[in-house]
Amino acid sequence: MSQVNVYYTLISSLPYLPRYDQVDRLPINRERLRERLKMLEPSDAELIAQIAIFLCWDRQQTACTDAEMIAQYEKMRPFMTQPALAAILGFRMDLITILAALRRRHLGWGAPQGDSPWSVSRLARQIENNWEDPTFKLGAVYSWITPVRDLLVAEETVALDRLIFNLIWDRINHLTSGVDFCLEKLLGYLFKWDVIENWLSYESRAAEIRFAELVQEVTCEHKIDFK
Amino acid sequence: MEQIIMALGWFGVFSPMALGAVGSIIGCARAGQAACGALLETESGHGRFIGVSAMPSSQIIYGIVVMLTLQGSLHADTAPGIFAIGLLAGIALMASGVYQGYCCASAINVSKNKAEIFGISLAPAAVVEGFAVFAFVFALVLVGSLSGGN
Repeated sequence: MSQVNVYYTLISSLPYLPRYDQVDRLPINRERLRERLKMLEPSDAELIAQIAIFLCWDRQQTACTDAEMIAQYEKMRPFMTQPALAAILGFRMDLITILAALRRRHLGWGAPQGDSPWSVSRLARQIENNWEDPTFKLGAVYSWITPVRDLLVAEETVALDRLIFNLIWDRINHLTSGVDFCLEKLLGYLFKWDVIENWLSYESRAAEIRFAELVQEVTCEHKIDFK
Repeated sequence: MEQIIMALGWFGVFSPMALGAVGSIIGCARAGQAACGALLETESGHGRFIGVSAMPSSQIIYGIVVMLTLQGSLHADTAPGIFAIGLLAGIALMASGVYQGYCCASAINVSKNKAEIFGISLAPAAVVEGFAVFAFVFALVLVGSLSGGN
């Protein structure tokens, strides 16, 4: 009973999260969010801590080997009994796997070898077996594979990131709609918060790149003037 | 046998009050917890959140009125009717209190960041209150016909 009741206070204490591309700053910062999450019972707090580790790892995929990524995902398995969590993480793993396969094929690499595991997703074998198909014969289930592939081929990275964030955001909304004041709602909130933070950090990275380009332009102009 | 019938009658008499109290307790607790959470996130308007969290307390008031009305009509021949009316009115009041608590908690949650929807967000809670009023009024009407018929 107390585990249920704490969510009324906790969820009401969290600010509303607008859609990720409509905010210019985080509605609640990491420290304050962590403070609010201290209301949770120890078992739920442990679950949330594992999710935080997973999300950090998820963001640093490029710095990990496939084996490290799989090992990290396996650590999450004992906590995957929560249906909403299993559905959200399962979707993210499917998305990451399909993106990795599309990027790999875009670079001209062959299909991953079946003897060395490269993904924990249930789609890995399907992708290996249908490597030559434009959508790995998954287009009927995942209609977004074609637009993602087109953006990847066109190297429209910003549009591709936006499409991926949209997919994740809409999926979270779908999985957590119709529930209030429960763990599922909190999980949805945390995943959406992570999307916003990710998007905002991307924006700042884009600003840094743009700033570097402007500096470069100005420097070049000065060089021309100087000559 | 008559003692059993009278016991059922007393069960019916106290049911609206007891079940209404259960509904109000759960409803007010849930809405109150949501209000406490909203206090952390808002700078002003705290009073209205606490006020809304007290909305499910009306069910116990209806329960007390029905209980007192039923008590005055309790005889061996009216006891079965009082049992049925009291128990069903109590269940209706309890459900209304619990679910009004949900509505109030949701109203508090959505209006904490958007003060302009505070009024409209209370509409679902008011509708639930309306059903409690139906149960209350028609319980009184039926008690009247029960007493009049005997």
